[in-house]
Amino acid sequence: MSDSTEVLASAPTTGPAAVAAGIRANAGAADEGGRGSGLRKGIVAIVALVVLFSVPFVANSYLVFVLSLTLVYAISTVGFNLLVGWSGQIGLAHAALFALGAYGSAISVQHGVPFLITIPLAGVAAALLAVVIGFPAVRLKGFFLAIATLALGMAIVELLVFARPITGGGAGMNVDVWTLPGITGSASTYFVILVVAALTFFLTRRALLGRFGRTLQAVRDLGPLTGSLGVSVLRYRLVAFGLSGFIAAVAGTLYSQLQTFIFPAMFHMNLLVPMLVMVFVGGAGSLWGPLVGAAFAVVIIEFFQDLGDQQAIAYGLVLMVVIALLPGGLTSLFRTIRDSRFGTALLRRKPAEPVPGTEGTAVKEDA
Amino acid sequence: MLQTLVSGLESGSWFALLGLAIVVVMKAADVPNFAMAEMGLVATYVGISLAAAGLPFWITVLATLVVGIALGVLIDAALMRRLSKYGHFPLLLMTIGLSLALNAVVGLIWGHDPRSFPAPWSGVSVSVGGGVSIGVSQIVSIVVGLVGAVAITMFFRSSTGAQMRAVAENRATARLIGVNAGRLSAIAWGIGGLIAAVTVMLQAQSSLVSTITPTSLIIYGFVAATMGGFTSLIGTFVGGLILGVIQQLVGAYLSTAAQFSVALLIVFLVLVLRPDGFTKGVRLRDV
Repeated sequence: MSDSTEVLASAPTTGPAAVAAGIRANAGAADEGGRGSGLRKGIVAIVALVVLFSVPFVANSYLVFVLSLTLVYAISTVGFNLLVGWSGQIGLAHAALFALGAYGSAISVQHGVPFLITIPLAGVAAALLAVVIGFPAVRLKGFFLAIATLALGMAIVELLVFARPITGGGAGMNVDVWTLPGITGSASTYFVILVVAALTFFLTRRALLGRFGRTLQAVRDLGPLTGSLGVSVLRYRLVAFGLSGFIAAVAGTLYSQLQTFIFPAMFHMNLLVPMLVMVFVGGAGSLWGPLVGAAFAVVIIEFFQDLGDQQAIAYGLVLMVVIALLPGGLTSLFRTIRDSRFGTALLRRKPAEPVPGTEGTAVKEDA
Repeated sequence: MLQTLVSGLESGSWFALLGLAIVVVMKAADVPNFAMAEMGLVATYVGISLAAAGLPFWITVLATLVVGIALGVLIDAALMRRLSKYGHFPLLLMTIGLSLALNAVVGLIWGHDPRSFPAPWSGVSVSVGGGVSIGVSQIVSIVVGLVGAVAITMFFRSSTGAQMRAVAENRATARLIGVNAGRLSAIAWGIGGLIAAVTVMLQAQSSLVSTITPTSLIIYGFVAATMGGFTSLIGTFVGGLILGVIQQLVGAYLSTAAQFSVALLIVFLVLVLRPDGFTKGVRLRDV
């Protein structure tokens, strides 16, 4: 644990104490931005993107599919993490909003709307719906909000079964896959997913490290107190809902392209629980946690393929173990190791001098 | 119409009982338990297996109840208590993980085919005139539901129940005056497991249960608990009965596919309009 952890720990928390516990362990995440030079980070990011772009030309289609799935889940988890981790609200309608994106895009494409346009369209529609779903957040706190949003989310998925003429009902519907000229469908889907994922990570990282993220954290940790600073708690809570809904639906549109066939049962609790696993394994309130969490979840899915019960047991157990033992998720584990004496020696860094109230190491190294 | 009403009261009794189990655990241990229906399912399946092995009916019932209690106490001691200092969310997630794992374990051991718990009175029905006949198992469900609700209400009047209310009100102060909060949370989980076992057993002696039963049952239980504002026992019980009747009416006159959605809509409306439960203000004070 870094010294900033203790500074945060003394802050009053009105939100769910547990989320706060997990977030406290990830308190260092916000400092990440200051670590290392911007140029070096940019180069690393560009190299990583180039490597990822070349994957379809060298790897087999199975690997491309697994990578695509990981990225789609990572995008969706960025949104969920924004809501649960950064704004501290337990909204459980994420799977339903994901479904809305998938169905919205598939139906629009069937009616002649170009796929690329359906991505932002579905996002905006889901954002509006998410604000409506989040509206009880004005009055409800903690797990009452969880139950209200869970109920509404399940009702939305039920509606998909009802709207048989449009959605094909419980039997599901085919998705017309959009392809770039000259390459295979799966490769072009992969490219679209990669671009959207890169954009999502870049934009949310900028937003969360900046003023918006700090305010969101303040609203989470201080609650109505921030009103005295001129920050509207209600507005930030609803914006968090809207943004997470937007990202969920964007991920959903990509998911429908990837699966090429969708049905309502895909989006029930059997999706919501893995989504929660992704957030908490990755670490609630961390920046790169969604990618780690998504990779972890996809490994479980692929490892226990076609073994429904074992897969469910694995998810259930992993969720339980992570919550009991690792409230900060895997990324906090990495950070704890790196910040430990052994880690610092390994990386040949000078140990950080504790400067209360400042982000010690980051400031020192940059100077 | 009468038939529909009785069916509604029957399933309403299941929802009410499960809602009461949720509220009991909620009151003493402060956990919204999503694994409640699965706990009952595990206990019931143990009972069904024992019955299939040739044990007498009442012994299997007793064994089911004991398994339910043991499961509740075990979950509390092994998983929940260490997390209680973190608040609602990890506990809630823990029960969601638990429900998924328990359900899958049941699927692995007993398979996914629906099963029933045959009672001596299963299939027997009483004619009440006008061509309407009511199954004895339906009457059993309703009577047991009523008895269970009265028993739980009586329990909360007892000394242990009063301590439980004290812990629910203010955990720290209750502990200062000598209330053993850990023992109470174990008792509450035991009672919760017991009621859950009774609930699923009642459903199994009247119709069929399978691994998909808990998914809807837990939602209905939460609807009932929501209607009582997660505190009022009477509100929960009456809410469960009303939900059962509404659900049967929707099934009879609208569509069986709409039953689930209507229940979900009720939760949402109650939470948004009356977050403290619809009986709030009807009684002077609900603890």
